[in-house]
Amino acid sequence: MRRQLLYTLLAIGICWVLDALLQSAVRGQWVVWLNDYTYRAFVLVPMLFVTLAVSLNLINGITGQFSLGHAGFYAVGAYLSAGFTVYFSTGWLQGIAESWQSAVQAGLLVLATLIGGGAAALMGLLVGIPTLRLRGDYLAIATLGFGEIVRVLFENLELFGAQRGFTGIPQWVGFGFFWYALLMVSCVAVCRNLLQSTHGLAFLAVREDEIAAEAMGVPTTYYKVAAFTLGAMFAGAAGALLAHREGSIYPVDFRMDISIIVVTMVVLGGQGSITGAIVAGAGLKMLEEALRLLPVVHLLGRELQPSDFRMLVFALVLILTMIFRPQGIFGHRELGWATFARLCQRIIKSSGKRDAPRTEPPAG
Amino acid sequence: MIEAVQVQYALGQMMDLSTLAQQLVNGIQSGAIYALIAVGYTMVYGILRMINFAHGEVYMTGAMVAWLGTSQNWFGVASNPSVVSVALLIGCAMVTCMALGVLIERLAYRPLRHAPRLIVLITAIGVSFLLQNLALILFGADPKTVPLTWRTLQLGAVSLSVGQLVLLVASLVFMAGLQLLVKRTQFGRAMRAVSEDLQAAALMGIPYDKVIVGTFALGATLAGAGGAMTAIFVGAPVTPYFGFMPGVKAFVSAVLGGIGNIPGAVLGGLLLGVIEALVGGHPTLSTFRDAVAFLLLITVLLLRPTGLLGRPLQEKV
Amino acid sequence: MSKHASILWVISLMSVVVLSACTGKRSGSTVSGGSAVLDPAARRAERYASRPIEPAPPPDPNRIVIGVYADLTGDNSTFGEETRNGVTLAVEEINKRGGLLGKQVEARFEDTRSDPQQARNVVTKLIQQERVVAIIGEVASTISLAGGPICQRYGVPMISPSSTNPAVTDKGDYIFRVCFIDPFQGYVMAKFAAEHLKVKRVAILYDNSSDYSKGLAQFFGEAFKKLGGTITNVLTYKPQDTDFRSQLTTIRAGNPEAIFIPGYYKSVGLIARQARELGIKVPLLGGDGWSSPKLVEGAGGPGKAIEGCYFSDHYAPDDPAPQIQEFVRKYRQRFGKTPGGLAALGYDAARVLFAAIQKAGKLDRAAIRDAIASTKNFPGVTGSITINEFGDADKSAVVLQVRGDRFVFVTRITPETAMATTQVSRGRTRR
Repeated sequence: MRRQLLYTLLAIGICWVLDALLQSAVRGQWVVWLNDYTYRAFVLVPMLFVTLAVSLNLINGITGQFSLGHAGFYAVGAYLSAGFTVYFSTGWLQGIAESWQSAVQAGLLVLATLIGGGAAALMGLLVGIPTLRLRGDYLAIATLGFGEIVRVLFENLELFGAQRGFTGIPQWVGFGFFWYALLMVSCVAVCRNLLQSTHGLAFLAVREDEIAAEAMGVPTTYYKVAAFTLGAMFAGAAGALLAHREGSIYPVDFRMDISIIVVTMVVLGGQGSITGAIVAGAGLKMLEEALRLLPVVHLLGRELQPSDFRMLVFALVLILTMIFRPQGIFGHRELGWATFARLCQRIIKSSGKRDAPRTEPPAG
Repeated sequence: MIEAVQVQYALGQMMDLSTLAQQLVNGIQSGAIYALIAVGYTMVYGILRMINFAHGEVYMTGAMVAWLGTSQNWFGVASNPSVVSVALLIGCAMVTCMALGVLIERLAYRPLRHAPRLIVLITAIGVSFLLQNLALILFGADPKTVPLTWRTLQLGAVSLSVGQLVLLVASLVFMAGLQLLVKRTQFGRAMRAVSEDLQAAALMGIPYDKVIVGTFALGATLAGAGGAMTAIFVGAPVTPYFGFMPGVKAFVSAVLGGIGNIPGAVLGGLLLGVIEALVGGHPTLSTFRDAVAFLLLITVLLLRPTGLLGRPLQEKV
Repeated sequence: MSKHASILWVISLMSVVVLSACTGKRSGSTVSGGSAVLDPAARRAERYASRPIEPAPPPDPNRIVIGVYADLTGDNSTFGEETRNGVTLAVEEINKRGGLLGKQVEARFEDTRSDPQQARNVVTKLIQQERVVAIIGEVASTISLAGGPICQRYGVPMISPSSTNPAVTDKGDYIFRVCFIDPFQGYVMAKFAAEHLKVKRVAILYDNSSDYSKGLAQFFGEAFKKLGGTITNVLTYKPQDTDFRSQLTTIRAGNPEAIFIPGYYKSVGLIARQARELGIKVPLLGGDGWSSPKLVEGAGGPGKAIEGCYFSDHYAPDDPAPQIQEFVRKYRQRFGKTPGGLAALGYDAARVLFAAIQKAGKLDRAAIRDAIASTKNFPGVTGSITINEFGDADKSAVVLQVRGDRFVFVTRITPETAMATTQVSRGRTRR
């Protein structure tokens, strides 16, 4: 227990330090191409999508429930946390002295994120339960339907700005690295710990053969719903951070496209592999942003924006992966501390061999 | 805006028979298009148990070809429109889409014939995106309109344009033709056999590869016809993303009617069209028109996953 | 989960949807768009409330780079194209005369595709990567509302050529516009309908995804009722819709004498077509969102569905005034087309910016901002431009009629008449 607390504090501390470092790097432009735009594109957005991918991986990869509606959870978290902030918390800030402002803001932000994550988790529960009976394709379609219903709902609620977007959200996330990193690290940590526990075995059992698992006494209902709830919670928290960083959210940010992009990341990385989700998530997003920086191409008498090509690349990646390597980059494997340790040992061993005097012939 | 009075007033208007009749006709028109696309989904699912997500994009391709044809004045359809030239244009769209459907099957789905269903689903999604973006690169994102207009007919309290009437009649003809093909021809028999049990059909000597390709071709042809007709007769502006919503709604129609069931798809399409028309005309609920499709989807999946006309499935352990 | 539970679940889901439909409307607190307007003190307060937080990277000292963001290839591409042409014409003119402050002017154009997310991206990119001195954009109010706060945050002056929703300039004192605002535009069409067309019953069909459309619909409705008219029906649509027949059928049943459709040209053309197909023969009215060479095309061609309909715009290309004819001639020579209202505004916005830079005398964004704010009686093609304390320009509007494939001048309505007839101080709906 104490070790876990130590690790947690260490993680928070490292995130804080990195945040401060990055802030001065970006503001001071230590490297020529590092500015607010590239920072957002290559650091913040990938971190957000890593959170989304890892949380989806819990549902899709680890528990084998094919959910195509992750954007719905993302949206619920974003809109409800923003709703809380805009409608309920501006009052609190009025009477607070200047010096306490940022502390109160941080506190309110955490509260808003919890509300967003909680609402999304609730929705995950609500989605998980009725879809229990559905398998495979039907489950995918039902989750797709849920995701779209959520988006259409927000698109029509005047309270949340309808299709014109929910604007005026106080941007308490500020620079963003600290909060995004905190969320990402906690998501990965929770998933990893879960996976390595007995619960993890239960999730995997549900994925491998649900009927056999049920026969062996694994409460599949419980675990399926749990997967949805947890995955949804992190997606919702990610949405809350998005809302409070950008200051405005539009239903178009939560289209089915987003669900599919996240699914692509999970599948590309390898369903069930947390490392895979991280690598694919960050990698694909960075690739997309890099493509956006390309100059405009003139083809067929028209101008083609580089972003036109990015979905094409995405689609091709998806199709080719499915045809040639359906298990993804990492398959079911992980790159964990064990691999890292083995790598270190190998490096030490090989360097040791070179330095030690050759007093005896090498062992056969 | 004095909303309470508005709602009362409008509800009164809605109950008015002539308005209701008009809304019904509106609904059947849009429903006919959904039905045309839905049969494609349902046939492919019946045979291969896969959801061809790219089907909506085939519809979009049909519309693009129709626009291309009018802007390049093929058959003189823009300068001198006639029944023949319009029919030829639609024919071109159908042929192009048929080829597209066959191509997709060959390149993307055939290698995955024996892969787990989820992999195929993801690939289908990928193909859908690919087609959208190819269209984006080839045609651009700005909306394109087919500049043909049609006279308005007044049938009692109901108004409709000549174009829309033709669209309705043509759709019904296509669907009747399909039903004939499936029930009365050898190919149709082969299709039904393959959808019943692929292995048994193969054992009985049915060339299932050909049947599969044929099914894709058939569905794609109909979707292409739907797209071309929407562009020509309704005058809708065509964009690369034009097929997404109709594709999803057609898919919902197919599920509503019972996926794998052709008359079911038609019924589902018409039903969805009519419900949408009624909701769309209501002053307050009007914005939720698109939500109708998804709500119906969830309802069907939860209450009767096999759809209105489908047979209940048994799950074997 | 049992069948009964499923049924219960579905019923609760549907009731949530229906309830949200009803409560959403009646609560009345719109987050963006035209809410009850325009208490000047509140507007002023909001405009000067937010200060730039982070300095933008310093501009390139050797050239003058301005950024332009517009919809170049998306749903409303003619808007972006016309704006770009107008700006390009202005840039070329000034470069021919020796540039600004002794340097050549360059314009960088970025495409928003009418997507607010994309707009945020490209505005940030223009500021951070291209290090522009100032920004011109956008046409659509919703998109300007997305890009404006970013310009304000970094302290980069932004001039919108044609966003007419009042909220755009409230986002900060670095945001300006060279066009009129929608409370006035709504009044213009209401007055035209009441006095010119002499109609008493009008239905409204607006685009719910656009701050501009919703706001204009609301302002028109209020003005029209004040002038003694009735609004028979208010219905909405979305820009992706291709089927407006349900809404139009309900509108038809209400027997209006005209329909006000304050949307963008892409949908308006199709709406007009479908209205005629449903047997609706009354005139259609609109705002400057109709101002596009593709409007008539979308309605099926010249002389078809939209023939004879009216809309408000920023200038009339057939206005005989020498300055306007000179502009039209130059534009036709350069681009081969007749410039629409948006092209003229793009041209004016760029020239106002250049005049401000010249007046500021240096590439200091704060100084340029002050210079823009003090623009007085600038001779624009779209009228004399004076920037008021809200960052807006008080200008007159013209009403044009669609004849064939041209837009013909019908009448001009000035702000003085608006002030005389309408009162505009109600408490602003605060979030």
